[in-house]
This record gives sequence, structure tokens and C-alpha cells, in this order.
Amino acid sequence: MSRREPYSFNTPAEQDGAKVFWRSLEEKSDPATAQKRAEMEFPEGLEEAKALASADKNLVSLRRGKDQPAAHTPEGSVGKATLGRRGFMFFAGATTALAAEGCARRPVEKLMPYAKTPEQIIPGVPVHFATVRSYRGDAVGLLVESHEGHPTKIEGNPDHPSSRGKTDALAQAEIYEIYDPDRMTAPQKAKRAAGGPGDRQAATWAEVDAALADLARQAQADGGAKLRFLSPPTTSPTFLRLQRAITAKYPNARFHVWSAASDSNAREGARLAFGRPMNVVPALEKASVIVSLDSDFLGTEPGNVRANLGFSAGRKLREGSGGQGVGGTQSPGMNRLYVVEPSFTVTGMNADHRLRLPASQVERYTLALAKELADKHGVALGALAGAVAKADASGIDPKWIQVVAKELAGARAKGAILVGSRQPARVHALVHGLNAALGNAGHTIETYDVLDASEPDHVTSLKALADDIQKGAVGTLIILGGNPVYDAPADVKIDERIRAVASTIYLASHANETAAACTWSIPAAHFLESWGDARAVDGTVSIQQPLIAPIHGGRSEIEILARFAGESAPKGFELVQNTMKGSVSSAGSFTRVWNEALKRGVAGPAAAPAGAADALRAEVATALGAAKPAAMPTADNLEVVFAVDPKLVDGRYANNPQLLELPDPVTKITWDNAALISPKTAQALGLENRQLVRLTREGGGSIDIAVWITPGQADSVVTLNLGWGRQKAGRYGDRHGFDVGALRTSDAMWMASGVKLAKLGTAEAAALSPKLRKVGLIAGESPIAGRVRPDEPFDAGTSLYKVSQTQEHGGMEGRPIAIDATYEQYKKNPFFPLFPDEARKDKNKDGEIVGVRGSGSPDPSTLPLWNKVDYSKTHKWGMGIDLSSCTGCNACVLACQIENNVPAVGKEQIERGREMYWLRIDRYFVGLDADNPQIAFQPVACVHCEEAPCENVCPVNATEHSPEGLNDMAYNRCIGTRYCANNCPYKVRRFNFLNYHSSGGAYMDLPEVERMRYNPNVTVRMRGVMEKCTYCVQRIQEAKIKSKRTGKPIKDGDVVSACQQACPADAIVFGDLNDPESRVAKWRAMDRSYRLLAEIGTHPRTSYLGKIRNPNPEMGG
Amino acid sequence: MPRPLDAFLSQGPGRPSSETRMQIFPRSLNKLPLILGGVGTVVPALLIGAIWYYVTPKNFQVGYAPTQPVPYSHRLHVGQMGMDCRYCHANVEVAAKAMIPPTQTCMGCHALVKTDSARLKPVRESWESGKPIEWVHIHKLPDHAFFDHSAHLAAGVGCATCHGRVDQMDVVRADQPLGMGWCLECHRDPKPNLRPKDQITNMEWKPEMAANWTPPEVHPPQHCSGCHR
Repeated sequence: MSRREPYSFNTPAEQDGAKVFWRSLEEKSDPATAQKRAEMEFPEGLEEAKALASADKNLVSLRRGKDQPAAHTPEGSVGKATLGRRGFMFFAGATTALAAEGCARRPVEKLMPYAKTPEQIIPGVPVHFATVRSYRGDAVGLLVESHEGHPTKIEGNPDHPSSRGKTDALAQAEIYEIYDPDRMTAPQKAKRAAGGPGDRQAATWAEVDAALADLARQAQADGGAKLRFLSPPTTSPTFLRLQRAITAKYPNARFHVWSAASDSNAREGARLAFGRPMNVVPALEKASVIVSLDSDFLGTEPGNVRANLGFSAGRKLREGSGGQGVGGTQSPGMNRLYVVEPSFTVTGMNADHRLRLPASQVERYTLALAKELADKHGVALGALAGAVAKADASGIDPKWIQVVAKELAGARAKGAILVGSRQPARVHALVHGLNAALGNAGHTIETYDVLDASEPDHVTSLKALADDIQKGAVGTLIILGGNPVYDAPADVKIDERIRAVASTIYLASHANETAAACTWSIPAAHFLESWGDARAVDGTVSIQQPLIAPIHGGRSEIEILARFAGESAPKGFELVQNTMKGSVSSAGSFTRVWNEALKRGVAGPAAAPAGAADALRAEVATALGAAKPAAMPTADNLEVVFAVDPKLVDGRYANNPQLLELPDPVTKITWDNAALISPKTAQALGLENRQLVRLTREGGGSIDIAVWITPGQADSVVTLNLGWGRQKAGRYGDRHGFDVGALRTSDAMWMASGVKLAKLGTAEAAALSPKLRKVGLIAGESPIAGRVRPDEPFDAGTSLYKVSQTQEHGGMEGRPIAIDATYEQYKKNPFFPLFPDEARKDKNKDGEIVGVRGSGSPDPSTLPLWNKVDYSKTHKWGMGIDLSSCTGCNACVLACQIENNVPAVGKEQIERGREMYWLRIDRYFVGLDADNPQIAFQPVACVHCEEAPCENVCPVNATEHSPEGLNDMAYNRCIGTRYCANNCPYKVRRFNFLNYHSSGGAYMDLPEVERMRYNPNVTVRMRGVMEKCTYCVQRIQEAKIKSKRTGKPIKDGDVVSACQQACPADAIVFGDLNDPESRVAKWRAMDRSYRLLAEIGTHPRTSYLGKIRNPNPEMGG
Repeated sequence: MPRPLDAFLSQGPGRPSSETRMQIFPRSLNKLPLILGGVGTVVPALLIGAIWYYVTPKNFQVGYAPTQPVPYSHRLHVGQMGMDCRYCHANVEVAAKAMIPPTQTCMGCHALVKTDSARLKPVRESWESGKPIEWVHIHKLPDHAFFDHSAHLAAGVGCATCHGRVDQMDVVRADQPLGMGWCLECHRDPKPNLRPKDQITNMEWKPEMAANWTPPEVHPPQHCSGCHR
């Protein structure tokens, strides 16, 4: 047998014109170093050894008695301190005593049956309830799994149009929010003192009720002239009903609306275009050309689950997804996505063509596009024609205007232009006009009536409230949720204003920044703890059904409002029922309707789409004409763009360790945010990665933040994610990342120009450090500190901010494991992953092709070392992952984490490469252009090799093969040699370096309430144990036992893995490979199917479908 | 001239000649290595054997019969009155857990029968307060082992196979070790422990009672993830 050449790591220069995959800028510019780093499996191991040694030294000096003073140990002999005879005897004795204590008595465990069993509950069998979650103006129907009364897992509701059985990462993580140990547990009351409330003390609910009744009575005298309400926008019909009742009762009372992640621009844009606010809902499954103008519709925009479903449905190329075959160069079965945006988002990462453009220039681009459509393609723009004719396209690639216009004009009624909530209202209005003129409206773009047409613009509304307070016109302020003190625009000075109000009642989950400014803080009930209702963008109303009584006795918004509305029964249940009674004709049928709504999770059908409205109104032209064109930003006149964070949104999930740790889809940064800048801008400003800088805006505030150099970022644009740098979030969220609020003012809610950047010196950086977390996390503050090294947030000496990211962990080592091709290439060579064309073939150092060794290449012809196992008699479980559909949204990562009790480990542990994710999403930059690369995603979990390398090296048989081909892991056998992880070519095995569930990492002394979230069907692993993806074996076993019980064989679709269930893009499928009719078997048999590193003979059970891009040849490149 | 040995023997102890002064160990010590070798193997072997034999579920689990908060007698209820197991352990056929009956089940009868019994006081208290009765867990598996009653019943394993003759117990005691080795014995060869499905709860069932019955083909899992998830 001839020895193969080692895999050569081709530098980009060697492979000019060929596909190059890279994970980070370091890897691209200096592949050798990156390679070395990838080879070091636990890069920070040395550091920890030192820390442990110094901890040992401390122990030794403690236990030295009088006879052996600690000073006896010479300084510097760290790690050499030996245990004296006395010390040894002490520990030996203690160990024996402890061991004896452990054995002395059988631990008595109690079994506690119900005294009275609730109906329909069978202990040990989970029950599912339909409920609904509101998120940024939309409502997503959910089915929540409950084990003996406590919710453990959230899934989508297949009957709900915004979910269709799928969820996003945030919905998955909601389960943690109920069990957050830092939630407010009792109402708090503070005496008014000068400059705001003074010391606070716990109060009872009776006191709260009395205070509320008192305030309601006081307000009656003057019709509520001094009564104000402030809440995030609502989707609840009951909220609205009560709001109207209160306005009727107190005609002078006012409702204000504020949310930092607001969709006011979209709303106002619709108001401008249609004359009234409308919900604009794209039906992307019908679209063949999609143009996103700064819209992250697959990621952070509302309706992302629905958009993911629709978008990926248009990119399937499988299972008879009918070819759409319309519109110019459009390929059948594949839609085409053009994205114009300032920095990479999930949507931009899925683009076939992406133009990086400062956010302020998107308006100019849109106008130029409209002009091209009107001039060259005869699109009638009516009243807008005049405004559009003045469009100026200087500095924008003309191809992007001509080709996109041609595509859109060729795909009338089959195209969709989407615009992001960051863009001003007039751009939204212009896009509505374009969609109407192109005939897209009513086909790919549907419009629905909004719930509350009177909802004001958020900034205007908040400013009006602040002004009223300043005038002394506000005596009582009821804040129902949100966190305005943290996230309101800096110039509104809402903190000062709130402190000036005599009575402020704040309903919130946490005692956060706003709570400190209010006289009363009341614990809010989580949406899984309280009755409510929510209306989706398309008008579908769902009942929000609680799964558990409020753990800390919280109340919901509607229960507080009801006290002012004078409802006789201020209980959430009755309030929601009363709302629904209003919409049901006869009282007799109400119970039936109600029960049906609870059961299905949807009350009645969706509303009919509103008919096509005239969107080409003169008002839009006026607004466009009045706007001043923004200048292109430059390196000394930067543009700042605020982005809704894909994990924390606007800071509302800031104490959720699962979300804090979730790698950002683009940067793969965990536990932090950073100022994203392009490589060119960094060069122009002389910046290093992770360097601390001060961003100052003319006439505005300034912020200090670390920079992160990101490919694909528009030059001279700094992207700042909202929601980080919280100082009062809770034990997990405090002091992670940087608060960017000081730059965000009411005139620059989403983008600001004229920003200067200055580097911070060592002294300034040191001054910043109290606001930042020590990297040792909780461990650094716990009584057993020393085991984990607490450390400064900066690198010693250089003041570079420590950023923990997962992107460099593992690596391709030159082997293409994420495989992509264009649609044209695919048509020529459908088996491209298995038999690559010349450009992709592996070359040795001399550039000679060394034969097909690509990842997808067939199994080797060598015989395996062990006898082949016959899997044909049983189930043969397998998984399929479609890289074409995967949008990299992270929903599967969190679904897996929650289903399988996988812990979050903390920033410091991530830095050491110890993340525990069973399923990770690898993100590769593709192409030679560091400024504007393409992206490929690859979700990687254990691939369950039939010839598993891990099994052969385990000395204790802790990992074994099941007769169905699962690579089993017996935790209690594992002794932690880590040989298996070392021998795994996919790097999917995870080791519990610490007791992450009880006393390690982020989870120091895990509180009891947090343990309630565990899935009782999965073992909680302890320190020293290896773990990895099990293909959700608990779900397989459940299905098998059910089949044994009922005698019915397992059908395809009976076993659904957690990742598959969550995936809104339908990119993951699981099933039995022995069943030729199963979806997974069909995927595996497809032409573009391949298995990771099959050439090394592991026979993986997971197969991938190669990624297909659909670029337009006219765009070139 | 006597030979040195004769001289030594004739001189006797205490008066060593110059030639024999080096001989400080008595002759009997020559057997020491033999004794040490023997004891050194036999004692540890016995110790290991003892631990091997005694520190097992067979010794620690079998016979565990803690005092329960209510002196409920299975002998009375099942053995004498003939109640079926599933009257109280109602979910055993549909769920992983057989279920300890809720107080409700007890009160179904004891609201009318023996209403003043002092031994039933905890039951009445639980019923009135809504607080559960704290039964002591006897048939306990480790947290990483996931046992499913319904699967075993579906295959035809009788209650008495694992729980013993509960109908003869005043105080429930563990009858079988419930260790992994014990589980696997049956998983490797289930047939001797199977019975017709209508005889599952029959405490007195013996294989002779169904001589003409052929046990079904069942394939219990023997791999790790069959029980460990």
C-alpha cells in the first residue's frame, strides 16, 4: 500500500481562481499558524496547568503547620511544592472518613405521588400544550412539552401559519427564561427620595394591589390627566381591549410605546405608502427573485421562521420541488437572492449575490434601482416617477442596478423586494411602490391589516412622554415590561425623567436598570406562566396558554391593566375569555370555540389578505424629495449602524447563558459583542483585531468598545449590536460585551454618520475594566476560586480585549468538507461532491493532482479491520443535512442543547476550546476576496460512523456500537481518557472538564430552580465524562417502545431528532436508511449527496447534500 | 579440630564464636517468605473475593425493606383480597413508570372502609392537606438507567419476575438485585421469564401452567443505549 501525501494546506496564492475555504482572516493570511493552532486541541491547556499549580501552592501553604512555615517554600517553585507527611496523613484520613461516611448509610429516596392526580397526567409521560409567543409584532404558535407540570422544551405548532411546526433559536431559548434564577421573586417598593427612589424593600402583593387601587382612584378625579402607560408594542387583542377601556374611563390618560428593537420604520413606511399601517408579509415560497435591501429577513427581522420556511422551499432541488422556471435567467427550482447590506447577516450569508453598502446608501441604491426599472423596463411608477428620476447612482456598481432591475422586471409577480426595519420609512414606502408596480404585491408580497392602527412611532411616543414628565404633567407612570432606562435613546434621558415621576410602577422579570429608577417593581409572569393572546402578522389569533403557575407569583401586563380598566375579574384567564366572547356570536358555542382554540393553538382561520392598495402615492414622493442624500462614509467620518442582536435582541435575553454562549452566526463570537469593521477600514485606521477604541459622534455621546475585523463588512461602516454591556442583567449577563446605547440618539436610531474613532490607551482601557467581566466568570467570584483562573478582561500588556469565539476550533486541514457548486456546475456535473471537477481536485505541493480525495469521495477500497456488521435486519438510523437549505440560523444548535441537557460553559471555558455543543454550525468564508467573500454553512454533529475510530481506542468500552448503527456512549463507564475525542476525525466529541451542571464554568452552584428545565429523559453528565450527539436516542427509544406497546411498526417521521424538529429551513432529516421510502434514504441516494471524510473509511451515517448556489452569470465573478 | 558447625552447636546460644557472629536471624525465619507469600496472596484474594461477592446489589439491594409511612400490606390487599396490581399501579402498561398510586386511589375505598384506623392517618392527612405521602423508594435504579415498565409488560414479563411474591409481603422488600448483570441475564435469554400477556399480574403463575403456550420472539436490547441515554 502506498503512503499518501499528507494533505497540503493550499495558500490562496497557490490556487489562484480556485475555491478557497477559510474560517477567519488569520487563517487566510497566515494558514500555517492557523493550522498549528488547529492542531493544538486544547490551546489554553498550558495556561490552566499554571493556574492549577498556583492553586496547589496556595493549598500547600495553607496546610503547612507551625513547624513548616509557608515562607519555607521558595518563591518561583510553583508546582514543585510537595505534600508533607502530615499533609498526606491529613488528606488520607479525611478521604477515608469521607468514603466511609458515603458508604455508611443507604441514601433514602422518597417517592411522592400526587395527592390528587390532575386530569390527563400520567407520571413520566410528557404532555404538550399549544401556546403562543409574541416577538416584535408577530406571534409564533408553539407546542410546549411539559413533564409533570414543568415545561422543558418548546417546539413549533404545525397548525400556526407563522410557525408551521418550526421555531427559531430565540424561541428555543425561551424555556430557560422561566427558570432564570435572577428573576424578581417578590414586589419591591422604594420610598421616594431626592433624585429618585431610595432604598428598596420587599413588599406583598396586597400592598401592590392597594397601591394600584389607590392610583386608579386618584386618577379618576381628573380623568387620568397625570396617568401614563409605557409598554413595548403589543400583539394582544386583550391588551388592546383593556387599553381602549382605560382610555374610555380616563379620557386624559395616555399610552406610550417603546421598544429598542422596534419596527416603527416599517409601520410608518406602510402608513406612508398605503395611507394606513399594514403588516407586509412576504410569501417567499412563490418568489423566484428576492432582493433584500438591508433586511435580515432570515435572521433578526420579525417573521423570520415563516421567511426561512418560504425561502428554503424555493431552494430545494429535491423531492419534486416543482421548477418555477420563470423570469429571465432564473433556474428552475431555485430562487435567487440578492442582498444589499452593510455587514453580514444570516440573510447576507445566504445571498447568491451580495453588495456591501453602507446602510445610509441603501436609499440611494433603491432610488437608482427604481429609476432603472422605470427607464429601461417600462415599470410605471405613477406619482413616484418624479422623485425617482432624480436618483443618483454614483459610487454604486452599475451592474448591481442593471442586472437586478432586469431580473426583477423579468420576474413580475414572482419577485420580492424586502426592506429592513433599519431603513427609514420613506424607503419602505418606495419599496412598497416598487412591489406594487412590478405586480409582486398580492402574489409574493401579501399585506394584512394591523391589530392596532393607532400605535405611534416609538421614538416620537417616548419623547412625548419624556417631555410630559419634564413639564410635570405626569404623576403616575405604569411601565409594562421593556427596559427603557437601558435601551432608550441617550438624548431622551429617560432615567432622569422616570426618577422625577412621583409614582412609577414597573412590571418586569428582573430587577434591572429601570427597576432601580422606579418606586415599585413588580415581578412579571413569563408568557409560559400566564394567560394571554397574540395575533400573528396575518391576523391569526392564538391563545397564550400557561404551562405552569407563575413560579415567583408574577402578574401579566393585562392583569395590571385590568385594575385600571375596572374589570370585575382581573384574572388573565377571564380577561382573555372576555375578549374572545366579544368575537363569538352565540354564548352557547363559546365553550366549544374556546376549547378548540386551546387545543389547536389557533383561534379561527387567518385573516384574508387585504387587497392591493395603491402604494404609489404623492406623499411618498414628497418624503423622498425632502430627504437629504447621505454622504458616503470615509475612514475619518465613519458610519455607525446599529443591529438587533441575533441572540440578545435588545438586551431582553441578556441573562440567558444559552443565548450568551451561542456563537454569533457571522463572527462566531460568544459571550460578547464587538464593533465590526472591514479589513480595509482597519488598515486605514491602523487597528488590530480586539483593540479597544472610542467611538465619538459629533454632538453625541461616545462609547468604548473592542473592534472585530470582519470580512464582508462595508468599508468605513462600524456595526454595533444592541443588547450587550448590561450592568444589571443578572448573574450570567452582567458586564458581558459593550453597551452601545450612548451613541444611539432619537435622530439616529439605526444609523449615525460623522463618527470618529480613536484608539484607547492602556490607562483608559484599565479604567474600563470594572465595567467588564473578569474572564474567570462566576468562578472568579466564587468561594472556590483558584481552580479556574480569574483574569482581567484584557490581554496582559497589550490591552487587547479577550474575545472567546468558536470559529477557529477544529479546522478543515485543507480538506474540503463543506462542498458547494453553482447551479450551472451542478447541471454539468450532478455528482460534484463525489467527483469534483479540476478546480476542486486536491493538489500536492507541486500542484499536481493527487487523485480524488475530496470529502465526498467514495468509501476506500481497503477492507475494514473488523468484520462487517449486517444492519439489514433492524433499523438503520441515519441523518441527512441539506447544505443548500441550511441558512445557519442556529435554531438546531439550541434545540439540541436544550433537548440533551447540554450546558453552557462560560466565556473562559470557550476560550480554552471546551464548548459542549453536540451540534455546531461551521461557517466558512469562500473565495479569495477578503472584503466580500461568500459563505458556506455546515452543521456538524456526530456522524455515527459504522467503522467508528473512537470506539477502537476506548480502553473501557464506554463507547460502543449498537446493532442499529448508533455510536452509543455509556457515560458511567467513561473514565475520561479522551482518546476517543483525539481519534475522532470530525471533532464532535465533547469532554466535561468541569462539573458544568453543578459547580463549574458558568454554572457555579446551580440553583434549584434552574434544574427544573432539564429533560428528564436524558442523563445529566458529570465531570470527567465524554459526550456527543446520540441522534436523540431517547426519542428513538420512545418510538420503539411505543411501537412495541401498540404493535404498530415505526413509520418514517415517527422519530424526529431535536435539530430536525426545530429547523425552519427543513435542512435536516432523520430516519431509517433501511426503508427505501424514507426521506433520509431518498436524500442519501441523491446525486449531490456525500458523506464527510468518507475516504478515510469511517462509513458515516450522516450524509450531506452539497450546497448549490444560484448566481446570475450576468453579474460575473 | 571440630568443624565450625559442630563448634556452634556445642557452644549453644549466647556464646557465639567469631565465625558464627554474623548469623543473627534464627533458622525459623527461613519459612517467612513462604508464609508471607501464602498470606500475601490468600488474604487479598479473600478480600477481593469478599468485596466481589458482598458489595453487589445482590447483597445490598435484595432484602431492602424500609418502613413506609403507611404500613400498607400487599399481603392483605393482593394476597387476601385479590386486588389486581393495576388497580393502584394504573399506568404500568402505558408509561415508563408504574406509578405509586395517588392518595386519591387509597381514599377511593378508605373514605368508606376503616375510616378511623390510626394506621391510615397519614393517608387522610394527605387527602385533606393535598400534600403527598412520602413513600420510601425501594426498587431504585441509578439515574443513568432508563427502565420502561410498559415495554416489559408488552413483551410479557410478569410483575413477580422482578418484584417477587408481593402478595406474600406485609412490608415490601426488594426481591431481585436489579443490577445490570441481572438485567442482562434476561435480556440475553428472555424466554424463561415470559408468560402469556393475560397472566402478567398473576402472582401465582408458573411456567407449568401454560405448557402448550410458546413464548413470542422478543429481541430485548443488549447495547448501551437500550437503557442508557
